[in-house]
Amino acid sequence: MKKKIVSMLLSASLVMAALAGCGSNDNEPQNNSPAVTESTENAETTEPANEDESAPTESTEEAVKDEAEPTTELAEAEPAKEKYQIACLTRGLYHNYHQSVKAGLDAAAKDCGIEYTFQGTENETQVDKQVEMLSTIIDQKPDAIILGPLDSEAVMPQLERAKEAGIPVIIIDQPVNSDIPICTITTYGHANGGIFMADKINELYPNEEKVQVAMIASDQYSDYSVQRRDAFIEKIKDYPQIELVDIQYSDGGDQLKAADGTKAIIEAYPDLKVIIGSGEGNAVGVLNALKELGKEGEYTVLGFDSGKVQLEAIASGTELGTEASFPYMIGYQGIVNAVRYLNGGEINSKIDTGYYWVDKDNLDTPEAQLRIYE
Amino acid sequence: MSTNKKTNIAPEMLQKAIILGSLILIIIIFSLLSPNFLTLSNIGGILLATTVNGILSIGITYVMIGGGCDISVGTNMTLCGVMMAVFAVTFELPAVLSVLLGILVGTVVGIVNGFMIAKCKVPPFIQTLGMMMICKGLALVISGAKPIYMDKIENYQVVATGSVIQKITGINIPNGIFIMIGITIVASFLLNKTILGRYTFAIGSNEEAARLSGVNVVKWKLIGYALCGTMSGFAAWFMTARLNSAQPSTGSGYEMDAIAACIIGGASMSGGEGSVSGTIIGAFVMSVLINGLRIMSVPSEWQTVVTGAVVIFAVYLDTLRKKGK
Repeated sequence: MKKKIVSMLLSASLVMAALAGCGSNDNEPQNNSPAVTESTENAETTEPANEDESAPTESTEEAVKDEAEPTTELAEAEPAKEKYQIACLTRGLYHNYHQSVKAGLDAAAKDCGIEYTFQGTENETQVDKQVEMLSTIIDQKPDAIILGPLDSEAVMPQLERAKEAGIPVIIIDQPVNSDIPICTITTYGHANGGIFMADKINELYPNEEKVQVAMIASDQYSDYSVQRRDAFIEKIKDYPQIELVDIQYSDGGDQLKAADGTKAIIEAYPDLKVIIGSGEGNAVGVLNALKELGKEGEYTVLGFDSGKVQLEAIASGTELGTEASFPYMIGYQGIVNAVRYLNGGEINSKIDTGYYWVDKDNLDTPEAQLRIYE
Repeated sequence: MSTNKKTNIAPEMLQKAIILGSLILIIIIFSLLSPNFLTLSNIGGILLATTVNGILSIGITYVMIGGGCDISVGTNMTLCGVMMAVFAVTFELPAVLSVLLGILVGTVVGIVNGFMIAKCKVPPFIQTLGMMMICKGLALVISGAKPIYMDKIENYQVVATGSVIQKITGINIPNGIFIMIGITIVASFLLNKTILGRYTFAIGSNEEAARLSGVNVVKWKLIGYALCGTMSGFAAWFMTARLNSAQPSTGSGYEMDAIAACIIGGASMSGGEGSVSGTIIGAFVMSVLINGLRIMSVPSEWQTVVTGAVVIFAVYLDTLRKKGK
């Protein structure tokens, strides 16, 4: 009896919770969807200016230019011709980033009048599990697959299988070295983010003798983490005054671990000037650490991504600015391009959603606002 | 050997002395290696970094002494935190009530664990493994896999990160520490001076013997797990206060750090041994190690390796001591 009561209580609370969860979910895409059209108009003018492409290949440039058109066109005028089954498998479920990708997917699915399935791994290290999930998806023979691969090599056999089965694959987030995918949508060049940060610090402290910089990064293996870090290390060689004193990792963006790591660095390097939080969880951790130490505003904080806490910190001046990626657009473009392809339309093979520098000056512009996620 | 004689007199004390000695040794080594280690603000940082793990490991200590184990504490904490945020933000209940209800959620999870383990004889590892997943899933479902921010609740963070002492003496020691010390004292009292502690030790040493001598094993085991769940609730309180939000993805993996702290502190996986004070020292050993290695700018990879080695070494020291006995 007792067991029954307990399980009933549990399931009741689960249902309640599910309702509460759904409620908050539903609002999200609706709020965002009208704004997309707005952004796409801006994308053309703002992004090339802000985006310092290290190796601007022809196709990327084209893609950036064309980016605006497909979205608006499809969002308003090109609904799916049939009820396509699109399966999406992302690099994770629980990070704000992935949730923002999902919000984009949701909005696009609604605009195109299709349904899609959304799956992801629990965290960004479960490469094997993702391969398994991908195999299952291919067996289900969807009309198209949108994939954010955790490892660009590990998914190769599955991509071959998808090709044999005639299922078009769209890659998001992390490019793969293959011509099987019909389209790749991502922030091209995480390295640019690292280079940008080095330039930014140089711009802030051009004449100082020594500028000590510390970085809090998510982990030692994710591409974005590694590319930003390595590009930064490479670029600061041009600026002799910049010294990277330490890099601490936070187990995949754990805010508490990032905060404790930041505090240790601050203790170890009294002359520290700049702290880079490479990713949402890390930047928030840095901000929390400064708050706990009562040292808000004493350091130049540079962030990546654009969650709510960071935006508030930028508004209040404790964070200088952040390199915002555009997960919502990545998700939106994913579905839109899949539908367009299935409808028989032409699509670009590369779409760059770019980084966008958000600081106090442009915080309230629509371009910046659209990149904000909770 | 002189140590043998001492062991005969007070084995518990010797064991604690060894851990405490190791902690002091580590602190001395780091102080010598880096001038920035033994500063007031860094000590404050270490203390604050220990709170969450310390409280979780106190909970596990109870369960481990009783011969069980609980690997659901990390995600239970996540669930409690999310519930606190839901109560406070979604239902707009007063902050104090939300926190209490959140802690209650932890207790309920603990009771379910205890009931299934003690009454329905599900092995502790399996039960709490399942519960770990359930809590993780529920936390995500309830929060919609998004962080819930507490920024509208005034002074929510003060509990953990504010400093009453600073106002009086000017030294920035966060409030969280004193609450952790309070919890430690209460937990230690419960374990050493009350019937709960005595029965828990008895059950952990030999469950059958305890049952035959009239101890209500089911009841006391259940209470042990319930207490462990409650501790997860307290930990969630600090977690949400430090982050000023409930993060539905933070918490899994914390159970392993907590178990490691217990083991360094002398708790035995086979039950019947352990102490709250030892566990807290164990938690400090871990956070001092990590903090010190960070201050020395040792790469994170090696920090993990060193912590792992210390756990094994601590258990090895303990077996040496027992062999001597």
